[in-house]
Amino acid sequence: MRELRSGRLTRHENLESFSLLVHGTFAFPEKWWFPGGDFHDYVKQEIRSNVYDAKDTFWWSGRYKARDRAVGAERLAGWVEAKGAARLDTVFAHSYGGAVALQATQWGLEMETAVLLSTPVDNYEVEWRNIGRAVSLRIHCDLVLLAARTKQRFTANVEEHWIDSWFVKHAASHESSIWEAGGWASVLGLWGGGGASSRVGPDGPAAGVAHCLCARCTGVHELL
Amino acid sequence: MTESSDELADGTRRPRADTESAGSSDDDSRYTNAARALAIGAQLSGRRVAIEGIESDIDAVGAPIEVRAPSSDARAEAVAEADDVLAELDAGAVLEIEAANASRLGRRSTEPAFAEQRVEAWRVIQQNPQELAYLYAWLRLLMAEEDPLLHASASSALSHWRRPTKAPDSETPFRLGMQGRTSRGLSATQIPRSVRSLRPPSGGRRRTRPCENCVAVD
Repeated sequence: MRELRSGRLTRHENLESFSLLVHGTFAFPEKWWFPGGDFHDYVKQEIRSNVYDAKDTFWWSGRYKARDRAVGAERLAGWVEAKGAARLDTVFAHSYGGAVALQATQWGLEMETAVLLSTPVDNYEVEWRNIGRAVSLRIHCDLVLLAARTKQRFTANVEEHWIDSWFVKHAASHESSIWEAGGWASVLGLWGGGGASSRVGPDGPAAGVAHCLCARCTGVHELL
Repeated sequence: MTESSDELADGTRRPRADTESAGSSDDDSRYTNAARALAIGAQLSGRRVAIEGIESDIDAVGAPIEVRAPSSDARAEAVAEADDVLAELDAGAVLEIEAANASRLGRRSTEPAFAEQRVEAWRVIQQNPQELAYLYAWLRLLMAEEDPLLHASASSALSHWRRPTKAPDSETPFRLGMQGRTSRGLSATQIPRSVRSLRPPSGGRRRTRPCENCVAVD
């Protein structure tokens, strides 16, 4: 019998509220979104300490099919309900994972903040009243989205932001180094607002790591 | 424009909007031409929504945004005219490549085979974006290249056609575009996969510290 190499096996239940990472198309085998993954660690240490970190975290097929995304949305809402949470805190969703998260609101899922990372814009059915605030982070002229022939900008309900990166880094929006260098947690307003217990922020627990918004460094820090 | 000046902090490139980039093999130009092909393909197939909201980005790569989707008859006519354009550009080899449907991707060279012809065609397109024959000729020039990124982008641009019910068959470039997609699993994800395989390696996670002047701000 194989052993899981690391991470928590404990299943979380009856949670009041928590944050969640949702992967995109074909990203199921990737690690960045899974507990112990690069971006998951970054979010947990520096942005949301309440990010779901058990091995039974939510995942969907990741297939390039609208039907799969619709099924994923329904299952996401059901998964959150099964965890006993009335409302998610912050959802970080990459690419078509954003579609899954947004469409899950049709199934009653509520979330304080939706952070949409390089999410294609399509005619999703979204219950925007279930989303407190939505922000989007993407690169310029994303070839992935251009090839998928989807819009690359939300025209309503979502604050759009662009990384100064072009064409090829569809995954840039979930790379911790880019989040650090650009101070995106601050820019996207993820350190302000209520629910402070889950906000790690600039005084957070990650020793040796800090962020600032001073005019001198504009959030980009000298490398150690 | 040099490569070093256009390299961003994360190793990606800025676009090149100039005409000469239409035939250059540096990464800035290759990505720019891939974006041009995809943007033009979206418009030619009537999927203009794909460029809505990113007009400034499309402008930055020097691609037109006023291309109208032609009817199936106009499309067939323009592709036939593109044969003549290719002949005028001394790129008759493109027709031979299309006829042979050779697997040029096996060599995966990013060195352009039709650099001058691509520049000449692009020059006309910039002056008159409604020159359908030149748009198709330029896309066919890209599809005939060995560069997997350009080939995939142009194949995608030429593959989104719905053949009229009673039409005998699609024109060769469209059929090849579709074949290219299906036979090699080309899909919306194939292009990014090509991009991913060619992009510079990304750096590891960076640890940071605040500058001496910083005060943590919430």
